[in-house]
Amino acid sequence: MISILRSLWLVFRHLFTRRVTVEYPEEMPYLAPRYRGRIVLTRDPDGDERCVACNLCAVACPPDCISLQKMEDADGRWRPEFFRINFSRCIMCGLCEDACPTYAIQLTPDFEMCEYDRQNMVYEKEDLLINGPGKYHEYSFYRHAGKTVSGKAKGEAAGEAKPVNVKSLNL
Amino acid sequence: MLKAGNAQAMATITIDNRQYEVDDGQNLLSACLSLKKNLPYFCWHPALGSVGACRQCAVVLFKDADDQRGTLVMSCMTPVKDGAIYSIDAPTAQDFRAGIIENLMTNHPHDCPVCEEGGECHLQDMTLMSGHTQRRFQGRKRTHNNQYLGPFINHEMNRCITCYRCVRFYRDHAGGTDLQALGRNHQVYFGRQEDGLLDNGFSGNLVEVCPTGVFTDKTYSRHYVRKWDLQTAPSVCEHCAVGCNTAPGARRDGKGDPRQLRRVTNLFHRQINGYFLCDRGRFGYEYANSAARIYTPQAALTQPLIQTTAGSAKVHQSLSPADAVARLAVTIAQMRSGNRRVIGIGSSRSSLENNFALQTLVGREHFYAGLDERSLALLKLVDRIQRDPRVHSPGTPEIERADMVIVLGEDIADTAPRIALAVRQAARSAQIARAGELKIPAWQDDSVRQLTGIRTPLLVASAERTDLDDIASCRVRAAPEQMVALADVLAQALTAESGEIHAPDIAGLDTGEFTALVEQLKQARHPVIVSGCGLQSQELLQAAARLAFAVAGHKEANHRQTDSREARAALYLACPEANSLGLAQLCDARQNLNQLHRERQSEHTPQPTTLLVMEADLYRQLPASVADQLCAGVDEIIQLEIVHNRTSARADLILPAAATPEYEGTLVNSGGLAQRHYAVYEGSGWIQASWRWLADAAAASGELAGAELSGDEETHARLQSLARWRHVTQLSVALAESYPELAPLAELGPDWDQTIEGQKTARQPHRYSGRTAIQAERQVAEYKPLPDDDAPMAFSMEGIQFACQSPLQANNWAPGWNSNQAIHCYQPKPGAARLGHSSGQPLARKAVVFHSDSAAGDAARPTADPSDGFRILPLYRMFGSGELSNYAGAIASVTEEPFAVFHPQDLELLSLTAGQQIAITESGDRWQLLAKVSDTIPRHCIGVSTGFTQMASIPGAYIEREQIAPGDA
Amino acid sequence: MNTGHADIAMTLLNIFGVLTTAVLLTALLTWGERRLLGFWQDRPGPNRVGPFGLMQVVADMIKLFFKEDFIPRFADAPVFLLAPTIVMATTLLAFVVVPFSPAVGVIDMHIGLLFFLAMSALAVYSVVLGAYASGNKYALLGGLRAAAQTVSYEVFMGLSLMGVVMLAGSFDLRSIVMAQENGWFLLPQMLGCAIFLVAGIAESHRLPLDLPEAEHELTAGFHTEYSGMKFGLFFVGEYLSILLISALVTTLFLGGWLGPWLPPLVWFALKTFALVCLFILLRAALPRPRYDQLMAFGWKVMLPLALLNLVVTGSVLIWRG
Ligand code: SF4
Ligand code: SF4
Ligand code: SF4
Ligand code: SF4
Ligand code: FES
Repeated sequence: MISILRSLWLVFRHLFTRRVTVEYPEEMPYLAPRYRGRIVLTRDPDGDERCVACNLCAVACPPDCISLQKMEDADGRWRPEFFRINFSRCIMCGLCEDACPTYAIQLTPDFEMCEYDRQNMVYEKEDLLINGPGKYHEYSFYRHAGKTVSGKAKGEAAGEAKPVNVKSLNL
Repeated sequence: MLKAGNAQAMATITIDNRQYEVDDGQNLLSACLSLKKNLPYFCWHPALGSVGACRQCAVVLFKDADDQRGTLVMSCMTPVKDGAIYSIDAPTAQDFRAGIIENLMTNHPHDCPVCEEGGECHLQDMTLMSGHTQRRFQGRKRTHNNQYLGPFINHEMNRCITCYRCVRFYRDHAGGTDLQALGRNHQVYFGRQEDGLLDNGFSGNLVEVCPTGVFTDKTYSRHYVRKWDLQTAPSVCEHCAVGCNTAPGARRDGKGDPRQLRRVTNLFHRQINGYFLCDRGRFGYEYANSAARIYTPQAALTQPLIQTTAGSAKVHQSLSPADAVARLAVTIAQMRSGNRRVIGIGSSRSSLENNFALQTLVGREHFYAGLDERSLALLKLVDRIQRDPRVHSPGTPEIERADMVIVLGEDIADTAPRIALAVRQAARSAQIARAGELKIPAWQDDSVRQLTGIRTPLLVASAERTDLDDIASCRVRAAPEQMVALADVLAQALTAESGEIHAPDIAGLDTGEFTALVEQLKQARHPVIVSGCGLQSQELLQAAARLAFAVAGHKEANHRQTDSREARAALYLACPEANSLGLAQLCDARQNLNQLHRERQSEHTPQPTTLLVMEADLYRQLPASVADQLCAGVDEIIQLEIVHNRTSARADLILPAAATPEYEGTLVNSGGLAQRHYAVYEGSGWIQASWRWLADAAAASGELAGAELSGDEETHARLQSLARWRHVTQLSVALAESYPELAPLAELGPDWDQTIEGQKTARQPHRYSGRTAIQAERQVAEYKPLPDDDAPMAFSMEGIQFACQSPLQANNWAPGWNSNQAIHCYQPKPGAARLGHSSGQPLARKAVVFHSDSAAGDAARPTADPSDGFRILPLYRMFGSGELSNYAGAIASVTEEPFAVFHPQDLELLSLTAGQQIAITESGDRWQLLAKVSDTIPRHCIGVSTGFTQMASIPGAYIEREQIAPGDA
Repeated sequence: MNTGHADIAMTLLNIFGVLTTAVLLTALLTWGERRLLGFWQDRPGPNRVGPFGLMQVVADMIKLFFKEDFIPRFADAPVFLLAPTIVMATTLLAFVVVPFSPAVGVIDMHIGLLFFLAMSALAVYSVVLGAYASGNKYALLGGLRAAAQTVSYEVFMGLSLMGVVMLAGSFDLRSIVMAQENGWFLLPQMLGCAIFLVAGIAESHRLPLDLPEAEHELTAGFHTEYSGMKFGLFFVGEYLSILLISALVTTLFLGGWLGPWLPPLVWFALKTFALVCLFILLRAALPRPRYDQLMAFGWKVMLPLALLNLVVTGSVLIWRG
């Protein structure tokens, strides 16, 4: 009984406290760089697509709203042939970003993406890919991976020794 | 199976303070896995045994209950001992295993995201299971260069953990020679001497055997998706008659590409394929994605102008499925009213249900097998032999345990590859038996292989070199007649009490060898005889049967086997197509294409005639001139087909038929086992199972015919039942009622509404991704998954995901086990039949004693002088002789061009040279082939590549010298 | 005759005056509640449409009117349509007995209080029928809860008022107000007032006692299947009952229009407004109890208390003579 009265009193007192909300859109709230909004695909420091089409984001996504297809380019890199996010399903949870081993997929502080037609909420790779590295400036997956891509032969990745010559006698 | 009688000895062991009863005689690792314990391992494989190479499976063994420290042992090398105490969780064991995996990973590349193995990687699973999650090693990684291994297998050597499984499978199990462990120390390299195609026909299994991403499926990589994104269902391989079980994986494309089938992997079936598939079965799936695939109904344009420019091949145009059904319905309505004759041509590569629907549509008397006279006669003969109570068709485990194998004429390495792999294991059965005497368990692979020089007697009689030659204790290269003679003499030797038996006159078989052979055959307790339709010789089949009967008689007389199955002789007869034996049940020997051709030539019916061809290429079975006549003699050709071929080019109406992984049906393998395959995916475009097209058209024709219901009662009744069928299982039941041999079809698998606890089985695994995005490009709202009218399975994630107790389970997964090694979670113990069993029932054929009849002989040699004519010996290739697999891109890229193999002297005689194009002509038909030379082919024989796309049918059994001439360059 | 005409005119004026005021106030209340809730939750509430967001009411009305008039295939259409009108009708009817001021009031009945109880008892049919006719499991559950809740709380709602009746010696609301000339009944009938308030909340299924709706468990409870203006009627009905209960509490316990200096009507309006605010504050501050707790509370606490109140009041009256 006392607690009920106390709650009533406490709530009543809020009549005289300051509002915490702001008058968006006249006044824009501050969004931290790690705010989880519209998703982008980034590029590595050399300007190549970061996404290697590993499908980890797709499998991590709770509403299953990411879909992509792996293809392999002539330069040996894996790339998504298409990369699609159905933002009408996305819950901006950021699990895709967590799952991504290459920092390719990142959430940005932008949530203003309303549409009158739900179909327009389907973003393809062309809509997602940006021209920079996003939040992580230095990382390039293929500099670390063992897979050969053009411009990086076997043994040239970070921390790799020159390839073994199996036919030599000094093994 | 042979052990079924003996009760398995049991041992009581203690693992981590709990007591378990396990089968004695196995190793501790296998015992732990049968107890569903998570114990990491790499080098052990249930089919390859233990070598103790990887040290990953360490556990602690205690001397007694007081022993607190214990000793580390490798569980895969430790036989379970009654009363022994082990610990998997002991800190020493855990630390040891974590250390091992950390060492393995020091050189491992940072590749998982771009590794085709990722998501089904045994190394990933074991790393996690051992608890190694943080890299501490800061030194440099050892690297290797990769090799080009052909269009099937990708090589990425950096990922190797030197478990030696690949070479143990490739060399020791499959008999390959070109893959080796090269180098030494920690730089061992698994590859070939130089770049090039892996030449063993089982190389594809490296993909599944290698626990890492060193060997991956190149064809899969081209349209790669992760394992968790594949929907799957149990299927049966359609590329030969062995009937291996497969788990095809499919996924819809997000850009509307109709090609959905992504790969084929092995689906464990203890009696047939066990853990391994051949490369035709694994890589042949691409036919379903080929450019020749038919996705929409097509009608030939009738405008005369276009027709004249196109010649006999017609120009086709797509039409809507409704129109297509209406067109077929008109034909059927005319048939109903007696104004048209419809002839149905069935298929030996399509399901029993499809054939039955066609038979129901046209009536039994108008149903013909899509096979020529010779092929159908051979099948009927195989069927009659298999009905004899003195023989039975052995399964793979039985062949592997055989103590003598006689291969008569059949090139099983190319026509029934999985059986050849079993025969290869049989070659070691003597060694294993000897090991058993020395108390070495069979799984102690290395120790057993130390017993060199002990080989199972294996007679390989063949027309040309075969892939089994290297393990044969006795090789005979001969014409079929000589093989017949050899088989008969052997049979005689077994039955005759005494008396002189003379070796037949075959070049290369001396008396000593022959006597040894007779002696071995007399000694053998479980001999297996293998033959088949390959050489297209009925006499050979009969001779094989006679030899088997003699073996059975001998067994009964000398070994007094009690088990009735034991007393029967094991006779494996290989058939050509996935449902050859099934089709043979539906028609008699006269219902063949040659007979149809003759009938069409002689009689002239007043009514117009339609040829309704279902999944058969007439030009594959008949010489082009005969097929042309057959086609020209009818007014209309309607074809139900998967891929465009020469028959569909002439068809007036083409209906897109479902490929094996796209529909549910029943196939009968060479051993007479009826197996059901399920739809893995829905099929693109307007594809549906052939029987559904027929049923739809029958229903539509009912409406058309409605008013003028003339025709006979029986036809109407037939068509009505056809029109009423909704579920494929209804056809199976109808088949079971119509054909006593097919009675088991009624109980083959669950009906479409037979759910498990009210739930369907999901085809998509629980991690299936992209559900709400994959089709969003076209329509952002999700589509409803199509219902499955044939099986209690859903084309979605809904339902039971891992129905491990049901035969519908095809996805190999268990918590912590993402790779295909998860299969042991579905087995009572590694290597044993799956829990829930595989579908499959033997046909209920009535036992009838077989009497060889000389009337059913082969074509007689036309000329008396052998030097004047040549015998045609059909030769087969794993890549090239399969009708459907030839459409698969990777297979087509390694297929030879059609060839003819001559003995050097014959080549000289004909003044031809090897490498030259030659042409063989026979009554107006012409075959152009590449001349090859081989000193192993018998004289006066020409080995002709058979079943190749460009040159499907082969000239008759004999040709004259004049028929061979140099061909066009 | 003249007086007769004037009477009729007066009555008509009263009727329409009360009707329009009640409905208009209700409409305003939807806005007022949201703004108040907003303030109590440190946010502005609806403030965009019109001055202070007042036109929000109009906007909402337009929205409700233009929504598709949808009747689910599985619903029992006639009953489904009828249900929302019942709540409106009964609640509005109950207003006739409320004496707003000496001059304002539709009718003075001897059994005014009983009439109110009868009307509020009828209102439950609206919910139950609507729920049943929806053919929806959530609606049905909501309907069941409403039935049980109303039946239980009805009992002591009536009992709690008997103290007032004893004190005033009449069921006529006007006489009850007059009886408070010397002091509001709030003091002697503190317990009765509290019980009536709780019962009133339960009867109008307002938060925290909105178990028939309980959107966290039952989607929207009895009106799950309702949309557009049919939903609007339920919605307005609920606010009407808030007004009604507040007006009644004012009349029964707070001396009705009585009060110094200000005109009677203003006194009445002020008292009622304060009570309405209390209703809203309750909604803002208190969580919903569990259903079984609610029933237990009703039968095991409120009923004995109501009886106690009755016995004590009776005894005191007898003792005083
Ligand atoms: S933010 Fe969450 S819901 Fe959105 S795409 Fe990423 S994983 Fe999916
Ligand atoms: S997880 Fe990253 S790299 Fe992998 S597919 Fe998604 S975006 Fe691409
Ligand atoms: S082999 Fe396994 S662990 Fe190694 S890169 Fe491939 S997926 Fe990763
Ligand atoms: S290539 Fe694969 S199977 Fe062979 S040793 Fe390396 S990891 Fe083992
Ligand atoms: S599995 Fe036992 S040592 Fe490799």
